[in-house]
Amino acid sequence: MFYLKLAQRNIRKSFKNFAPFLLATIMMFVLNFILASIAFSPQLDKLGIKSVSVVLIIGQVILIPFSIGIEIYAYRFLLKKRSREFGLYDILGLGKAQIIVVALFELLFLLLATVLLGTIAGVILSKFLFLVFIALIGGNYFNLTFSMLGFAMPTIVALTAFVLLAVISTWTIHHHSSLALLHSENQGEREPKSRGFLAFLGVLLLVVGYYMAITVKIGPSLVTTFAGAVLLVIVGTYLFYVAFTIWYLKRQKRGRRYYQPEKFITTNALLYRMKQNAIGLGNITILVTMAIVTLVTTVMLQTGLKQTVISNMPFTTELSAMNTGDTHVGNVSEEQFKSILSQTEKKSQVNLKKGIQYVDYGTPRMILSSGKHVTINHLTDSYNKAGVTTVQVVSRDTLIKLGNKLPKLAPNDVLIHNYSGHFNAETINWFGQLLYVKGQTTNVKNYPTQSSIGNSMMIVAQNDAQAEQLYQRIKFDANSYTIPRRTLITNLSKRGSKKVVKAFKAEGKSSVSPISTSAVDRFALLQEAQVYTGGFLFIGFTLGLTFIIGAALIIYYKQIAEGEQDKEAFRILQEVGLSKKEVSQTINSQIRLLFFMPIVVAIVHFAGAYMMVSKIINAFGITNKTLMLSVSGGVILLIAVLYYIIYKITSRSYVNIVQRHV
Amino acid sequence: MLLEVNHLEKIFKTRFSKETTAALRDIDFSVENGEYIAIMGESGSGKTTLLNILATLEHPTNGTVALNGNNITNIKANDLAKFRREHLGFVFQDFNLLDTLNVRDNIYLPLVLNRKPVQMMKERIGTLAPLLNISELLNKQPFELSGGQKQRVAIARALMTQPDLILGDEPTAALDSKNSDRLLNLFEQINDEGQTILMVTHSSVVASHAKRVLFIKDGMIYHQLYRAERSTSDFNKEINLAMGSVLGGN
Repeated sequence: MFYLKLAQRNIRKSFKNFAPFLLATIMMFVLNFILASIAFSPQLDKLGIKSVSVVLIIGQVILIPFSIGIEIYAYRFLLKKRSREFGLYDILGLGKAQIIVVALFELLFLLLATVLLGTIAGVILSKFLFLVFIALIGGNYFNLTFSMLGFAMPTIVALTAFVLLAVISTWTIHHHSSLALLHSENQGEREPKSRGFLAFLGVLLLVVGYYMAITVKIGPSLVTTFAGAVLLVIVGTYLFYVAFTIWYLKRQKRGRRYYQPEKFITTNALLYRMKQNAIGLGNITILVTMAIVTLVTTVMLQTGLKQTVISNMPFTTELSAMNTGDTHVGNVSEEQFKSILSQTEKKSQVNLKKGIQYVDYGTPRMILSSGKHVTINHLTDSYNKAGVTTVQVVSRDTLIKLGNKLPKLAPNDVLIHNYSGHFNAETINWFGQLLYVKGQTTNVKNYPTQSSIGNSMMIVAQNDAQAEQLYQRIKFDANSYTIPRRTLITNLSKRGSKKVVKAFKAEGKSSVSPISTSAVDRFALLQEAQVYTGGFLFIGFTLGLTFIIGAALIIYYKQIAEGEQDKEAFRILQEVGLSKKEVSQTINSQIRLLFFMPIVVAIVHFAGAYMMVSKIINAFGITNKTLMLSVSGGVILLIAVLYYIIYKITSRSYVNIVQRHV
Repeated sequence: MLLEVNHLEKIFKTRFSKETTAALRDIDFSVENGEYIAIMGESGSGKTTLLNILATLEHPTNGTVALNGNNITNIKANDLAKFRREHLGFVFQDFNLLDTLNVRDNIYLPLVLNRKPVQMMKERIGTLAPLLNISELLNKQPFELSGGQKQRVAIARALMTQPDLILGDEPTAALDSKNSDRLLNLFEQINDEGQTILMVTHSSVVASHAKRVLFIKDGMIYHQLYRAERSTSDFNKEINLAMGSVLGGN
């Protein structure tokens, strides 16, 4: 097999050219492998967290087209280098068909190497990452077993990518003359055309995208608005690099200061560099933005989660009972509740005497009129009507029992606690009853807070009886009603809490009267939430890592490609009379500009997406604004540092190329 | 005396052994204002090293080069670039035009680097472009030009600064014979207007257009010929004869 041997020899001889491509395909294979092997691992079933695998599969749906794109990008780069050799074969008398056969054999070898090396690296890395993953979700399974699907997925992805590459390779060789192949590395290029309309369109799309993202409203249209804004910004980003930068540089050329040495050289060099790199810079920008958004979101979910669970559940154990037989104004009597509790104590052998009892009137959404004299007259099940606020009715007695200090109130007096925003009404017309607002409680201790989307407030009534009376006035309809729940909250040990929750729930089932009981254990809740967000965090890290590796590969290719071109310019400029120092200064300033541009644009993109991202995170009940800011800052810093390290390492190969002949 | 070269010596050391190679040994010559000199030699004779030293791109091991009485071998590294762009013009065999600049900007480049006013650039290109027959090409990109056109653009670039000395390194090597002839005539014409030119070549045809030819071999100048009133073809014959006598027949 002559062609087989030729292909083999080619790869060995010019491994330097093949190595970056192989690196790209192996990296993409490994990332696919990790996601697939964890998503399809039988361990997830055992852990009872099947939902996580759904999240991981969604991650794959994003990763697969991305990795195929990267591989094509890397291959086109390789093909450009190989073209010369192919052209030479053609001239030496190897027909195009035969050259294609050689190229396909090369691809076959590369595919085998990718699958083989990728699997080895993948097994090792995924075992390691699985440990990280398990630690994140707080489990204690330490072994990852692989399923067939975990192997098959990445292989199929690689196979698909290579079939595409084979098509590209065949097409390229077939459609280029041998001379064109021979000289494809050094073709002169026309100065890029200025396209004012596209430049304008790009900026317009960015502005519209940002505007949509900043003014987005919570509601069913959130997802479509988000997707629309993202699409606009992506297209706008490419147009920005492809058209706007060139339009801007062309304008510079007409400027008065054009004939100054620094501007003269930089403007012209950048014009060409932008022409060649616009898409690459666009890709890097979008990848870096995606990495920032993914990491911020997942880190926020993870760090904000514990805080949220604890503020929602100031006590470890929450037991409540309600009368489902009378959904309108039904209530469990104090005696009934006491008997259920004493049965629970008996069965679980845990003392509940220290617990605090109160009635939880729920969190109905109501429509508030504005102004100093607010009327509250009906409920709604909608989130996004004007004036919608979640209103909790709480007895002053309950808050005092929980350790709050509050002023005394007359029967028709209330205090207001705002979770968000300002509510400065003097009176409230509460379903026909006039209430006087006697003040605002700024901070409520130990009461389970409701993290809800949109505005929410708490109305503190004089005492238990008054709270009950306010609740009774609410005009419920079939779509929106709440059932009052008699509740006990207390702090217990992890074991005690578990036993009590089990016993209390069983009591509700055995009870003859239409009473249903529900019990929440903070330990279990935290565990559950951790599984959920741990899965997200893992996806976030893997995807973030993928995006950064993708950006790194693109930067690497850019550096090599630019090095080859700059080598010439570097030499000529010196001969014409620019000192070595001046030349490297000019080239460095260009490189720095190209290096910083994507990350600056990415940060601007993220700033545009900030409101939207924080609203999405709000939907998970995390509302800590300072946390959001510091996490964002940290992630941006981390990515900037990573990006800089990648740049430093890869720019060494650039410097090597450029300085070789100087 | 425009250029004086005294006892020039250049020894290369290989990086990993102690062996040394003498590229130039004791080169001595001088150039008057308005001269047109060709330095002729085979490849490996040391002519490119000599040109590189005259161009201040390399340092001699021993000896001095003086331009207008100033020793240029001890100019500080930081001032070399400035010196080059103010006093020397270069014409290379592979033209060395920047792909990223159009023809006009390539020609402007040395004056831009010297921070000269745009008005001056326009004036000079106004006289040079018709002379070199490149007026039509000014708005094109280098890759759109033929070899001969590129070399004329490179000459225009070299002349823009009105240098003391034009250095040519095989300026016709990449041109066909027709373009080569045109270019050599152009050099003569420029020289007639007072421009001093020094070029290195291995071609007797090219050398025969110069007013004086220095022969270099194994790092030494061993002969020189003046053209005087001879035609280029006669001078060419004499050059070949001189080469043949040294190399042992032709």
